Amino acid sequence: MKKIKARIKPDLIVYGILTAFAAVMLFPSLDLGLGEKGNLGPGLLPFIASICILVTGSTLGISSLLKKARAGPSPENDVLGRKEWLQAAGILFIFSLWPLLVGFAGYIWPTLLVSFGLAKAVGYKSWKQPVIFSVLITAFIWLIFGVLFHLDLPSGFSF
Amino acid sequence: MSGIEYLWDGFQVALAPANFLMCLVGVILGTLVGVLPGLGPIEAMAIMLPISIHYGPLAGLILLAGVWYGAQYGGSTTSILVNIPGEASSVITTIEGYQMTRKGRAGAALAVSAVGSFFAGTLGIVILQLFTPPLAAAALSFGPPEYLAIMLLAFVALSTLSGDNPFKGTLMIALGAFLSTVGIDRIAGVQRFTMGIPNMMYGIHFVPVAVGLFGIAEVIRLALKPYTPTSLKSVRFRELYPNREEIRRSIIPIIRGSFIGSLFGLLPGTPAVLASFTSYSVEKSLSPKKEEFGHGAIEGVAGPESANNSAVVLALVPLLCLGIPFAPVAALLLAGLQLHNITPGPLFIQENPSIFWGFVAAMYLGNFLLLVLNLPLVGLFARVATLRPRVLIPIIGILCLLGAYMTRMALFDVWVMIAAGIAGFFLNHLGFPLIPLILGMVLGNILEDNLRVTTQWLNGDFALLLTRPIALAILALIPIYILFIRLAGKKVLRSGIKD
Repeated sequence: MKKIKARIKPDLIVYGILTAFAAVMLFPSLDLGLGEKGNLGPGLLPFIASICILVTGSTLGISSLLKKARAGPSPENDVLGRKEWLQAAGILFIFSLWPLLVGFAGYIWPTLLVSFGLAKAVGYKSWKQPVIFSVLITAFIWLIFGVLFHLDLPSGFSF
Repeated sequence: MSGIEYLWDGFQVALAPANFLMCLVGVILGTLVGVLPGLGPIEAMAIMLPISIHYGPLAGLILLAGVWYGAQYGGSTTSILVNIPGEASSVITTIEGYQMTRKGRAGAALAVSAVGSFFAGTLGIVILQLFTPPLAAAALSFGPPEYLAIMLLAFVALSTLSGDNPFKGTLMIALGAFLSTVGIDRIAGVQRFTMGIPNMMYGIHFVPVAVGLFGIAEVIRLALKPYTPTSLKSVRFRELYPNREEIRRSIIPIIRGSFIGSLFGLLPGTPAVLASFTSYSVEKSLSPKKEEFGHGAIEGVAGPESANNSAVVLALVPLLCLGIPFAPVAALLLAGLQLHNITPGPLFIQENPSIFWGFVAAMYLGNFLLLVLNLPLVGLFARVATLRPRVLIPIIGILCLLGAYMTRMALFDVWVMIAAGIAGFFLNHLGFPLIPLILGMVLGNILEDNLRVTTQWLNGDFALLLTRPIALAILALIPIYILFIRLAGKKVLRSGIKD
């Protein structure tokens, strides 16, 4: 039963979020104006898109609810446990460090930090290997993009 | 000037050192991208987009296209040798290709795959070269109603082709179309859904969204469910010879696959994936040795590998003729051209003959380079696929961050990419198709422009559409298309996937 819940619930949450989002967006779309005959307003496409999301999201949500009783247990590998959710959140946190730091620290330190963090998050046990690995990645990308292709990598106090 | 003379000039342009170098870099990079699980042509092209600006429109186009079709070659190598499809379109090749490797026929499978890809790619380029100019000329007679009809057909096709549930496809397209409206409206000049954030005024670019949906979501997926690289079967160059029986059994599937791919290439969405699955189903149903399928039937390698390569080339036709990208990677090519103030469409070939014919010639060269490079270097490329996910993830992660940043040199795009990565992970986990979301974002603006122009043109009287036979014919194709895909196409595709 727990597994059935784990499978059905996220579906309904996504449909609920999207349907609510579309319902809310109908009003600003109308405010933008749908236009008139021969002259369409800037609110028309967002209005049509919102209606589409609303209709399809509600239909999918209702059909998911109706299927609930018939849904069998999902395959074990489809259900994410607490550990996996935490790992995913950790990886996203590491990713978010890059745009947070790169504005003032420049390319090198945030890239070192993120590549090191990602290496640790995905299974390197020791400290030495991820450090060497992150230095190599940072240097290699800098050489390719910064030196070879002369692209403007983010600059800050460290670069 | 005749087509042959234009092509000759094209070869002279394509063989210029800078263009040739871009072709070489593009196909090698594309092969590597195809080999690596987790890194697809979308992310690679997004990263190469700012680089392409430095080398002019033709060199940039050659580079980006090289990555695209090179990825199809690379994907098959790892499917055959290590049972890891580097690309979605190579998934079907793992079924027969890896079984052939287990039976000691890896060399034959790789050779047939490479030759089939070369033949199909070349056939695709010939069709592109022959049909694009007259189609573009015909498209000159298209007015806004015809373009609107094509857009509607594309939207319907995308929703029906994506996944098992067309409602999910429609939901994703609508979401993409909504996101495309964020920013300053180009005609009315008003802000739409910008929430007072200055960066939102420029809109949400589809590249960081695509990198997030596919790249970051894939990084998370790989981290949570890492694959175990299988041991690499070494293949020597002298082993790359199929025997007479294998050659005989491959010829017709290669030809058939090439034509199937050519047809599917013109469809919106993921033409290479659909073409390879359909080709596999067709080969299986037509083969006199059906019992060998699933145990290393060479037809199951020859057909799909040819199909995905011709589909990739032909997917460029709608972009070059109409200026409408029907696949996310075509949208990236469009973005690459627009960065040079070049707009593909009916006038593209007339106004930029050296770019078009140079591009066609570079595709011939790239296809040849792939054949020449891939067979001798097959062991090297396959070794890349045996890298463990924990080595790949930090590299892919940093490349995604840079790819998103370099799109417009804005950190806002990196945040958009991370948000898209979160959404992509959840949506993918719940079985939502992601390609329609990207194409909804790309096509949303074009649809809106055409809808507005058509409404003005018809002065709001849509009954006047009845006086436009081409638009009517395209609109009439919509129900026929739905019927065909839902009844015939799905049956073929499903049987291939199930097997």
